[in-house]
Amino acid sequence: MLQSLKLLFDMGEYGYFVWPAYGVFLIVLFGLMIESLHSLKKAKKDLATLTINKKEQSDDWVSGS
Amino acid sequence: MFNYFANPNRFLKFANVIQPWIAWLTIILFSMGLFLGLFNSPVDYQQGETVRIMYVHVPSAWMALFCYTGLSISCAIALIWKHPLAELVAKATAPIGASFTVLALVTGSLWGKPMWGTWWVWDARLTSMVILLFLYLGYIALNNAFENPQRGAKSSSILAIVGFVNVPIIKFSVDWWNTLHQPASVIKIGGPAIHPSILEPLLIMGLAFTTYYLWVLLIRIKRLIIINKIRALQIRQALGEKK
Repeated sequence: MLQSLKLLFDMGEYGYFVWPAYGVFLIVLFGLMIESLHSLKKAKKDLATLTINKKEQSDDWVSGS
Repeated sequence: MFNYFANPNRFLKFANVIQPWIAWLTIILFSMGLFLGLFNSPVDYQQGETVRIMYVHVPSAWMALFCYTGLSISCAIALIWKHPLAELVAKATAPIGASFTVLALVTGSLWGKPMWGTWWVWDARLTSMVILLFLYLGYIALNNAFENPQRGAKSSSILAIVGFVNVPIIKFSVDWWNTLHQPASVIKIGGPAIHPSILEPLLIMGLAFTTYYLWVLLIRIKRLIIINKIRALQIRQALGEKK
């Protein structure tokens, strides 16, 4: 088991190049996805805040305060 | 179809329906591609295990070019027909394409060191890929450089269309000049020169990258539609206050 794991990590002495390549691949793709989802969430929150503020303003106007 | 999606609300409805399907397809394709590429494909007789870098390097380079082609076409449509969705597609594609370009450059460098003996060389393929990255960054910077978003969109669209000349240069750089980078071995006249056991995982990874692009694209377009709504509301509020 340990032997086969070692073989996998070694990648025929090229492990130092193969695994970092896959590491960068995961960082870039996960990073881009997380950033995209986070900025969408923030935009939705901003829109909700703005809509609530607008509603409050119109309510104030209706109640005359 | 062309005019149908000019309405952002219609596009949002469509995006909400297809997004989960695209997400699952991406996860399945990446799982298959990574399993086949890392554990179930043969080593190359010359390059040994480093050939596994190809499964992330080549699709990211394909996508870098695909995204730039899409960006240029969207910019042309936005400029000529003033299609609102085309402008959003272009704006949403640029950071995704730039990320793929960075990935192609870094993984290429990690493949180059053991095979060429150097991390970097200023040959035609590598240099034209760096220019592609600067075109993406230039587009993003110019798009956000103006207070008036319309002006930013117009200027950056012109840059993107002119920059398209770099795409065929990248593709044919390995044929036109003597490069350290190997010539095309998948998309070439006479068919692929790669054995099916290596080609299959590569094509699956290529598909996975494509569906991943569509997934992130939908998320980023949704965000841009909401930002446009926020801007419209703010303008309406400001005008209301003036009255």
